Amino acid sequence: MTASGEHMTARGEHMTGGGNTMRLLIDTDTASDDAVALVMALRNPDVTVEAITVVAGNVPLDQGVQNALYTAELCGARVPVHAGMAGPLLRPLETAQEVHGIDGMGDIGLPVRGRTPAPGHAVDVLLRAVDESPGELTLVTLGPLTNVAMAILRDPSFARRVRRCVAMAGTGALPGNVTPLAEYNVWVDPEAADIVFRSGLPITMVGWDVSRDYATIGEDEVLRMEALGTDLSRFAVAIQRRLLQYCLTQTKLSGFDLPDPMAMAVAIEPAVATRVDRRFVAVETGGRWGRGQTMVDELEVTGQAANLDVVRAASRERFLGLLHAAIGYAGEGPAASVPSGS
Amino acid sequence: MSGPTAGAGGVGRRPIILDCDPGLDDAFAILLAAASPAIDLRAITTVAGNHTVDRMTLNARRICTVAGIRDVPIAQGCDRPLVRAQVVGSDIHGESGLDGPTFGPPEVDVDPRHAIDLIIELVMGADAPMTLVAVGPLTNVATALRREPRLASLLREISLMGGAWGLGNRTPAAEFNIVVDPEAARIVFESGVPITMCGLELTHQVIATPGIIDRVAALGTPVGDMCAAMLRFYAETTSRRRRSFGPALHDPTAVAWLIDPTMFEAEPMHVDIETSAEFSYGRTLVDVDDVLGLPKNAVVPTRIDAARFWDLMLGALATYR
Repeated sequence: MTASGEHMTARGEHMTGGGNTMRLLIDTDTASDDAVALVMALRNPDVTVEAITVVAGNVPLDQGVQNALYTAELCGARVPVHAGMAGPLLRPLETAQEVHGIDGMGDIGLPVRGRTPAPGHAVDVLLRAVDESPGELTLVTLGPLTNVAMAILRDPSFARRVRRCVAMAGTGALPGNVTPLAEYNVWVDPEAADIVFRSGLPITMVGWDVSRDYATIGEDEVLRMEALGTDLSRFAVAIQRRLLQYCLTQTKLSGFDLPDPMAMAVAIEPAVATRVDRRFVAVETGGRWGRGQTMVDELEVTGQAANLDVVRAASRERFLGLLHAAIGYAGEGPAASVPSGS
Repeated sequence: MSGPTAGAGGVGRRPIILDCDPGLDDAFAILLAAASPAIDLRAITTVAGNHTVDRMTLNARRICTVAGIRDVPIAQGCDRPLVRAQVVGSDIHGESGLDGPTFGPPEVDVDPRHAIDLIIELVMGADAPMTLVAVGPLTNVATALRREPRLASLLREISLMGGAWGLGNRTPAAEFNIVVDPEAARIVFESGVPITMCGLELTHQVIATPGIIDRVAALGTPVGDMCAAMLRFYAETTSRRRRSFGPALHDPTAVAWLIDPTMFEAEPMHVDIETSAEFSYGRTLVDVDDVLGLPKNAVVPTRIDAARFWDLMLGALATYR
């Protein structure tokens, strides 16, 4: 089940409870930035990935499954990858293939087909894992929240038994990346996000704004990543080919941004988040223009109880440190620890 | 026309799963389905609706205990609508969800499986296409359809009690089962599974009059006594509305349709579910006159021969000793 072996580092201050290893469940609609986030978890010796559950989003479900299986294989990780929901709860699926490529992996010709996922539906796997280890698992969500919402609909106590949930979801500051008000993961299945945000799940929301401000990879940084000279460093850059075009033309960034890796960094090392505000956050499911907006009650004008920890600022150095450590090690087995940047 | 799927015709009994929120009229659906030689009742699944799902499950066990239904698994399902706040129908069904009779402790266990898992397992593993009878909010059915998309092509039919082409009974626009979880209803009506919609205009033709209640009481059996007590309570709560129809026995019509469609008049129609309106969400927009000319996704029974229905119902109740 586990991807990592020995617990080699002294990063104990960021680890769970008394244990040495952080146990993760990763729910992902695996495309190019999800894949880098998976590498960061699978190559981190202090992290055990219990299961990867896949949801339709950036790409159709089966493509996401293939991308996750390929990425795990590239990391030499024996982690079960399970297929989950093939579309949003109530709405038709609208993929982001114009952002990440038809195959979601930059359309660079990767052999992302033909692999077989582990048996068991993602929703069942999430429920069973949390049943067996209540209070111990950190859930990292990198895609639409359909799988997680289904788990909560099926068993509302799921929300109370997850240790912590770090979600790449929404945006704490406008604009959004798919509409002026909304970020893709929430926009594509707003009802699912609404269910999850209201469930009592202890969520740390890492919005698109955090990625845009602290995890945008420009040309200089690309050169540094490539200079690491490993298969994983080349992979991490090459699969962003389509995303880079999109970022330069549509989201007007100076490079490609890595929302899912930033969320993963916050999950693995909470100190990556340098400013966090506890706020009431609601998801707009109706309206004319507001679909999928994460409405953050900054001034506490609604009188509603705060339900989410919203990340507002992050350490780019620590983020890049975790990223480089994950993609920079060329050997067999789990990556060695590379000191983080700060 | 009669139903496209002629109930008891052909070989063997028709395999069904009954998804319900018992509920006074739900109790009669359970008793009719379990007694009918035309039906093979493979499971009873419960959903939040007339009251909380815990009470619905307890009530299913109570009914099965009194009736001696011991070999049908009872599995508990979703405890709230997909996205909306929960609404219950205690004004009609009482605080237990099944007020009227006095029950001893239930002697039937709850199946450990979740209703959604059980529905999927039974449909996927069935030797013949299964039929779902859904007489509560459609949360379980919708969730199962989303969780296992192959159900849509494997199910023979969903016979449901819900909706109306005219006025509702929970809001002016909407009937209770649909308005409680309109998003779920929309998933079901758009699923492509053949649907039979037994709406209020149909079920209001099936009234438990004092004469009917006397016939039930005259059975002189534990089931007869339980049913008579339920109907008396139900007659009292349903009489409080300004324009009372009397105690309409809604839910068993969706079972009766499968047993003997010849007692119905029905037409295929196009039905949409309103999910976004401020006041009229949960309304079933039934295109009675086919003004939209859209594909017909539901068969809507419009008339039922009430005398034949009650003969069927009383006959079923009489099989319980």
